[in-house]
Amino acid sequence: MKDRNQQPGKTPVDLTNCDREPIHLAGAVQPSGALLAFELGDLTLQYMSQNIDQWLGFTPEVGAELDALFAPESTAALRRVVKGIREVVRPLKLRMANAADESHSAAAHLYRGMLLVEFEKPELDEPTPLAEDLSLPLQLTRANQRLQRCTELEQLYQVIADEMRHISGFDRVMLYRFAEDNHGEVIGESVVEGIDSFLGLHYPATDIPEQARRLYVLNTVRSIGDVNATPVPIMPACHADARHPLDLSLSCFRAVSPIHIEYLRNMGVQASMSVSIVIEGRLWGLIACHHYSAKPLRLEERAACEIMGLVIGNYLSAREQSEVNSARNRRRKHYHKILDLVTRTPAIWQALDMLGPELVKIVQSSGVAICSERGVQTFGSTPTPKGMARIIETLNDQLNSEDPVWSTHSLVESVPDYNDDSSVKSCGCLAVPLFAPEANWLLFFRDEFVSEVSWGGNPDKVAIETSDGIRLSPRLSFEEWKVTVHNQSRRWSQIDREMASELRSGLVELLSLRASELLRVNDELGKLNADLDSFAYAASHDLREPLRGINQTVYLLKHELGADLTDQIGQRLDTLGNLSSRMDELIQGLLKLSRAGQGNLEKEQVDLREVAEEASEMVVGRPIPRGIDVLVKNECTLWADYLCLRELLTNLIQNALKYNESDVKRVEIGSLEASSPHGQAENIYYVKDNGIGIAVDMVEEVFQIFRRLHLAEDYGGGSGAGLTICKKIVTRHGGKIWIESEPGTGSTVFFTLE
Amino acid sequence: MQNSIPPSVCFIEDCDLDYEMGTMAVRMDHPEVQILRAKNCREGRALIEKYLPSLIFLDLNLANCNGFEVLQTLKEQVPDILPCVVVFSTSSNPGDRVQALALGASDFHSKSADPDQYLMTVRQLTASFLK
Repeated sequence: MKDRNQQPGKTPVDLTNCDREPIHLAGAVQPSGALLAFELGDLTLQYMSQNIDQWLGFTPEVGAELDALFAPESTAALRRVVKGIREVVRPLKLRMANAADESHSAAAHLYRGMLLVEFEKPELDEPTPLAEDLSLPLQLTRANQRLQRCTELEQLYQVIADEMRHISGFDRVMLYRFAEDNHGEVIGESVVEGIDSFLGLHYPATDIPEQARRLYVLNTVRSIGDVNATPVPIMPACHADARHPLDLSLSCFRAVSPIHIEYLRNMGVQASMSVSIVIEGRLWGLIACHHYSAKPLRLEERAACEIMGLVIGNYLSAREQSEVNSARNRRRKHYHKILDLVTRTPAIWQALDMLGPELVKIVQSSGVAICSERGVQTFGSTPTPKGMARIIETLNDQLNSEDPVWSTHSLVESVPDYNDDSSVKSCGCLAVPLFAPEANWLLFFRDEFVSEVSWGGNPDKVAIETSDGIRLSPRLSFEEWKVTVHNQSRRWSQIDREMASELRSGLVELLSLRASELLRVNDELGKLNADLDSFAYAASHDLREPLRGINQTVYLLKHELGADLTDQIGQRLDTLGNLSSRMDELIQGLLKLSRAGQGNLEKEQVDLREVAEEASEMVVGRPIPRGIDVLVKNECTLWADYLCLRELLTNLIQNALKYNESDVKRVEIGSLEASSPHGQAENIYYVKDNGIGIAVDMVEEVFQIFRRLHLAEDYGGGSGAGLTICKKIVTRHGGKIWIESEPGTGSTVFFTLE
Repeated sequence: MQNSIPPSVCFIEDCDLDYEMGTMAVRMDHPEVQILRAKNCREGRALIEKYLPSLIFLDLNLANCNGFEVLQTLKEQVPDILPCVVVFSTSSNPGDRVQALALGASDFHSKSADPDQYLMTVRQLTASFLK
């Protein structure tokens, strides 16, 4: 390891290098035990620890047969192990062939083609005064009763530590839980009086290297009887660099990595044991036991601890699952409410103020945003628009179809060039891709959570320089080391992600269904519109043609009467002509109104200035004649159908100029931002004039078709359908239109679009 | 072409009043012009092929046929005449305008209900095409 790290520029020096140390190929055992390894085929001896003579009274030859070494009943027991389940350590009493009635406490297991038989030291095998207490059923019954009485998780953690210390007799027992990033935290502790507590301390992921974590799942109990004891090599050599290494993954007495020994010595620990807590095949945590003097673990104690580990794992799993289930049930209520609300809402884009309070309870968050092609709608605490744009850009780049829900508890770390300078920082983000017609992304945000983490020693100090060069060393000090963490939110839990996935499936299905229903309705509407179009065309042609005929007849009649045309007849003919023209205007108004309601709206981002200037040109031409002033006040974009919006503004500008007696007729077009009844920012657009104004009690009536406030011939006539057309266009866009006016001063027509 | 045959204006128009007003408007400035009339598409196509008029007023809604069919036939058979065709219809439907221009008509005008305006439109078009 040292040599590897001394090659400059090759491997960076940090404790992750420990991940590559082949600790399962130690090639040695702890001196409190001895080992024999037989090849499974012919059960001949292949390896033995050098101290085996202390048990056997002699050193056997490599190649010796099993039957030759053990007494017949022990041979039979071992042969049963060979035929039994693999990778399980079985405690046994074994008698040697040459011994009269002395038997040894031993354990045997099969692993990678080998039968490994391990013996514990005879003096450890002596019955202790605590033997009765250690009887497994009694211990488990007592532990079970205590565990069952725990109502709170915190209390459960404490009782686990207490019970384990009671069984094992270690000075300190800690319940240690791994976080997502594999660093660990002491969440429960039982310790002899007079020793500092480690409860609440965090330990970096590098303290337990990756391959050790793998071994912990395989072999759930490891013990080190004495960190100062010299390991006993196995003959012939079978360490990692030997020709045929012997895999000691399941060994009870495997010698320990020198780095780990140093780590324990630095902590002042002389003996240790750890019991894995494995939940659904995943290493949930450890029960870590420390002793401040030598403490070899008896095989029987080991078995008791192993079963305790299983029992505790089941308890924790059941308790956590029950907490997850009740949280899931609580959140599902909000989820169903959301589906119900979405079903009743025409577009989720418009209803975020209603959906937001429920959404932030489904995925616990401080704020939520819906991103679609038309922009971003937010609820609660969210990043600035600039920050949001960076997030969406990154999300689109990183889209993963396997696991579409993306999350981070640190936007600064996960989103390149992300900068949120708002006062309340959003640091966590959980992104749900929808790619439905109404919304592309649903983003949940969490505010910054400034936390103080207490580490068991400085976690960053990983390598030291010695006269031999740089070498890896576990830290020397385990004094509490506090670090304040900024720019992070609370982490998203598994249930947050599960609920987000569930929400995604539900919404995508609902929105797609709605889109297809919308398509069907649109199709139907299209057909109806086509019928209406035919009707409108017929009306335009068939009704207007006779009217034109009447006018032409009146004209020709006047022409033909010549000198015979009396004043009275002339007046009658004029009236006939006027009535016919008025009728034509009305028909044309109806036609325009019918057209305003037809066709699909093709909404897009429309520049207010561009559309207002074009509408103005259609009304007054270009350049704008003297005596008329059309001003576009703000730059902004609207989400609208361009032609409809132009028709709307054309009508409003026309009215603003028509009903206007000022020397300079002024029209101002602009937008202002207001707050909707739900507190959402809303854009209001307006067309303001300095015209004759409208009486307050008439400001609503003017939207009725053919409702005129003046004589048909005054103010240049017109169909009287203009404002009705405007209302139709605005309503089709999901907006409102209203007028504020002061007679003699002018009117302002306000409208919103969605 | 126009040296050998006197200039002519053709109305493809089934409404007698519209035709009468049209004739009146043309005669106001061009009494010498030959005025032709067809009441349906078939007659219209025959007149156009025979006289190659300088200006053709084409109504859209004709008896048993519509002006778009005439445009389509001209486009296929006498495309050179299309620049002399002006669609003159009661319709103010923007869709009709787009379709007529797409088929090659030179212009599209709605017939005004106001007789003075009607006469003015015909006179202006005649002046512009016969100059």
